[in-house]
Amino acid sequence: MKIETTLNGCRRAVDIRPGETLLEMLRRLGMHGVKEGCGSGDCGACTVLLDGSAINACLAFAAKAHGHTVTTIEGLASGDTLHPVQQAFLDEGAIQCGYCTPGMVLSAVDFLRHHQRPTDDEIRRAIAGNLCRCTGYAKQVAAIRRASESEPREDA
Amino acid sequence: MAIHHLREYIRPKDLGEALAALHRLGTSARPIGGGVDLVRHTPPDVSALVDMTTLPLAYVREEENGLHIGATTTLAEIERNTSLAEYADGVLPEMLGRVGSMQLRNLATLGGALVGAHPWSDVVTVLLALDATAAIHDGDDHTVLVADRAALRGSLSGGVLTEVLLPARSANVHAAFVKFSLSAFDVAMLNVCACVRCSKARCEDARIVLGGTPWLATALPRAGETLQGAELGPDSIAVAATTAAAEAQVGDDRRATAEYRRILVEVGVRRALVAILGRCKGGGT
Amino acid sequence: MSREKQRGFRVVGTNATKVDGLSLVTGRPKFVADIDLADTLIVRLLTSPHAHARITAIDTSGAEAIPGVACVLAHTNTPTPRFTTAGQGYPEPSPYDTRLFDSKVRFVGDFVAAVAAESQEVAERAVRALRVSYEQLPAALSIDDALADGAPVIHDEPDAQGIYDALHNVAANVDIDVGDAASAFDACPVVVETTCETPYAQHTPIETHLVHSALDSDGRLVLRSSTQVPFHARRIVAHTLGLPLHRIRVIKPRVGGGFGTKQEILLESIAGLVTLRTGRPALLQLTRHEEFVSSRTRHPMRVRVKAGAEKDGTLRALEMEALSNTGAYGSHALTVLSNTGSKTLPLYNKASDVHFYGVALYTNLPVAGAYRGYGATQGYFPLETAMDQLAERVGLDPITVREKNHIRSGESSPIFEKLGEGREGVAFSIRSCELPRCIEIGRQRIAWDERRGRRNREGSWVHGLGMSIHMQGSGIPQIDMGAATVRMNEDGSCQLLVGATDIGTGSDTILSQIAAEVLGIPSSHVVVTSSDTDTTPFDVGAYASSTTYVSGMAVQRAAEKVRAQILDVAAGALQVGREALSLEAGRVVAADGRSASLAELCSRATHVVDQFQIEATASCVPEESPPPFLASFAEVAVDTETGFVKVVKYVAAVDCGVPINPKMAEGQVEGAIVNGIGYALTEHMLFSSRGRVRNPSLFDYKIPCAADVPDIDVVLVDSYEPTGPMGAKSVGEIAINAPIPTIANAIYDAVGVRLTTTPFTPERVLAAMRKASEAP
Repeated sequence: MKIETTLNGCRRAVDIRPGETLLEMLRRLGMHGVKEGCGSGDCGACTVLLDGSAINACLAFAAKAHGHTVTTIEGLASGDTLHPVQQAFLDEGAIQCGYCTPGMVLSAVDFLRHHQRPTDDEIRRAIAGNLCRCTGYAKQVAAIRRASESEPREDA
Repeated sequence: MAIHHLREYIRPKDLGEALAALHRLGTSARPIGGGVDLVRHTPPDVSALVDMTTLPLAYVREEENGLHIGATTTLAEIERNTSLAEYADGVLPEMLGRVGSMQLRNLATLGGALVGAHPWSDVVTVLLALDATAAIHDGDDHTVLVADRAALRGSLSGGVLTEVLLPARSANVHAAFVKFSLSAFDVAMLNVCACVRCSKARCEDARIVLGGTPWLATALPRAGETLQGAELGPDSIAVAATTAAAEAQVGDDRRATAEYRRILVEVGVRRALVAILGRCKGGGT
Repeated sequence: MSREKQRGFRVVGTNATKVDGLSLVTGRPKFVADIDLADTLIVRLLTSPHAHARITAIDTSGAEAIPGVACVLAHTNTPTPRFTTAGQGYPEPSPYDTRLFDSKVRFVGDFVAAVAAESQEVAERAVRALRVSYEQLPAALSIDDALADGAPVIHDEPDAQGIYDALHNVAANVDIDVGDAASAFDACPVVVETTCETPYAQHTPIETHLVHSALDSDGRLVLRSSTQVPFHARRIVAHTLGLPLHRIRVIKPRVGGGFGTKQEILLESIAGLVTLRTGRPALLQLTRHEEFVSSRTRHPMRVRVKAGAEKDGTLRALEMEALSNTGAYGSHALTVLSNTGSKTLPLYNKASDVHFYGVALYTNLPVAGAYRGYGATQGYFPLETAMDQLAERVGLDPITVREKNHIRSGESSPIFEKLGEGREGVAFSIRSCELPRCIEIGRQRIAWDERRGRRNREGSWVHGLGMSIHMQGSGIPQIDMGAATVRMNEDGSCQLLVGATDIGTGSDTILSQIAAEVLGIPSSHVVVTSSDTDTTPFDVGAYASSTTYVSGMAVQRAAEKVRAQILDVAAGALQVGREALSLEAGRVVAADGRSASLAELCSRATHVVDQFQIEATASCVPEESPPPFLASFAEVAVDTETGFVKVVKYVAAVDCGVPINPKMAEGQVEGAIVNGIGYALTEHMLFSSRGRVRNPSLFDYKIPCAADVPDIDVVLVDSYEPTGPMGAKSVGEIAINAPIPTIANAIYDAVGVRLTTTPFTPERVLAAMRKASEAP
């Protein structure tokens, strides 16, 4: 079946199978930044933004993207300018293997849309669905806190 | 992973079209909200999905007869909703803050949670405690108490869930939710919701519901009865909690043994009622 | 960074941005699976449903007949040599007890067959069409089962090598003595003893094991693998498939976490064989379920420690007995077992008489392998529990009893020599040990004196404090080898080629910092190529906390050789003697003030006169393994009504020598501690009575999420290791050993119960508290 979706700002017509997940579709379209960690919604590595809201792409049927906007990590930066969350992750040393990073960054982007001066507890609960085995979360929380303190910008 | 035996994904334009598709395809079709449950497991006999989120069923409306929550309202939308933040002490957002992850709540819908009815479901526990009603459309509109599981199942086999109705707001109704889980992103090894109608800490009516026992939410009528007409305080709370622990049906699973769950019942019910006591005193007439 | 400035460092000791940071944060395609999969065969596995069985028949015809199936592999049509999957130095100290596909299966999840097909759907359908008949055999599903009289023999194959005693399921055995511990115990007025148990746990790297294989245009087999050990992979694949080693190329792109589970040659030969048989590229990736069951795990262990001391708390004797469950195959069995004693007992070198004894047993359960900590994690639990028990018995503060007994700078332990990695070790003395400072800092920051023993209450929660101390090692002395090539470009930048394996640890970055430091250039002018067996020099890979200390020294040496060459060129260009020249900040400066930039000199050497390629290769085989040290402190809160344990505060003070990149060193400690907290509180694999894993999913096997743990307060204590590159030691593993004993000791402070089995689930904690309150 055919769907029409806006992916990282570009309108696309995509052929999908009814039983295909959004994760499979996105990787098939070359969005390799959307990672598979478990396929069951437990690790958050596949997090993408659907109309700005963070969801697990492995838990969404690809057809859910029809008529909606999807943002992956590839669509977050504006040309050479990184999103403040991306920049903060780099500056805080919050990236080790990087596999959970795209999902974690997108969760943070969604979260910061709704929360201006979050507490650390609120940050930790917001990213509770993004598992990381490398960092212990310490610098990721610091990065999100740092990003929350920087200039607000136009929504991704 | 792609579900290969799914052949059709239907995006109905209206409720009539949804119903028609479901009737045409019978048990080989399922209505979905977020579709999370179906992605995780699609029964082999299911070959078609009817996406209910294309219909205007995502809303929270306060009317005279209660709070109407559309079936495809996401759990995140409910969590953020200002009317619900003030309904029964905000027990719905209180509970939803413990459900899954932000990502899951952005996709999963109230209808999906109610129909999916996972035994560990926190949503069903709270809906039961709040005495919620399910509205089902099968050509006509019917309502069924969420507590009446058999009737609910029966209605759903011929129709679709369109909304959940919560009783009209009342300053005398207080509720609290308690969840025990091994990690912050985990299903309950026990969840408790207590809902009490009281004036000046005298209890007129109480509903105590347990879920994840490891079975799906059920009410504890004997425990609730101990509070009827009672002054809500440490003594009556202790009696209710002890009664609940004796009344509860609990079992073993990977997360906890029955014995441990029984201990948690007493603790959970007590803590929920203590929270309600605080809320009774804090507000209410 | 003032300490590093005192030492004159410009680049080392700074938080240089990770060289791959930008590409990772923008989601660039850097991982094995991030390629166009058109024309790539997808490989799926059939695994055993039985814990122990012979395959009596296998019918692949149904699978082969399915359109789109390119290749089916099983024991009937695959190479037969036995090997170890352990990625270790050759000759590997692990038994050669594994076949690619065997005619016998030894655990639920053992590989039975592989199918390669045009799509995942077809491959999965073909796997379901395989018909296999099994003759089930009795299974040994625990250490006790394996030890019992008449236990089934798990490795009865005649061609296995290196098994200590196959008939009794003993994969490995270690027994060393220093002095006479038995007599020494008899003479001790104070003796404490404890036995602790740790279960099966899994690394859960967020990226599961995977490999992509293809033939290049010269017909060579190219394996792009998510591996910690590319060079060992090349060798072991060559041995397994009977290919000349030089016809294989192994490349490690970005890896989504390893922690030891990818120090294993698990999938490469299977994918490689598919490619050889079909001529097509192939991708083999484990599902999350397979990652839990069929990859590698922690060695479950039961470890007993006995400590004998004087009345003033001075240790005289130590005994450690370790029973290790190595699962169905013996990779890392001997070395993990050895490490259980070798990375723990030397810490308390005041004990003059020591006995360490251990066996690693085969069972019909998932295969244990390398996991960060590597036996030390299991050994520190009873050791640091015993030290707390000793403190209580002699009436001393737990910190005091440790201060009396831990190893110090200038000291040694006979265990360094007696116990190496599967063979005798190497004697050396401690040249850097800032453990006293670590303890002092941690003590202050956790408010030890103010808050310990108070049992502060918050509702039903009682607070308690606990601590533990640790050492690890830095590489495997006289065994590990790492090499580096530094090659100058004509613009004064350099190419750094290292076999060293960055699995997210940031080794590409810190190695570039070391090279930049020596050459006086910014680290952004160092272009790193790593872990490609065709283009980079040899390195054992990422394990044993070796990369900074071993590979880093190779980089330092290579860069120093290149610096000498640059000075030679400058001597010619400036017409002065070498001794009058120094290299600083990108320029070579003569004593009389004249100078030339690196760019000028490199361009001259490349294009102008006496041209040659400025380049050098250097290797490092370490002579010693200088331990990093760590003092760990935690405050926990225990809910006395439910047994839930929350870690409220965690402080780790670390001596890792000079941290090449402090933020990255902190990151290693933070990550390891959170992993350790999971291992202490929630992580265990559960088994059915037939040996099947009951919780092979992240839904049911809970690892910590961000909301489960507090901030980890990490302090990198000022230290300098004279044998290390720029003064560095290592930091990759040590911290994971701390949370279990620290938290156990903190629980004791809070509620007076000693837990000796992990995880400390709420149910177990509550049961222990109730039992203690019932005791007379």
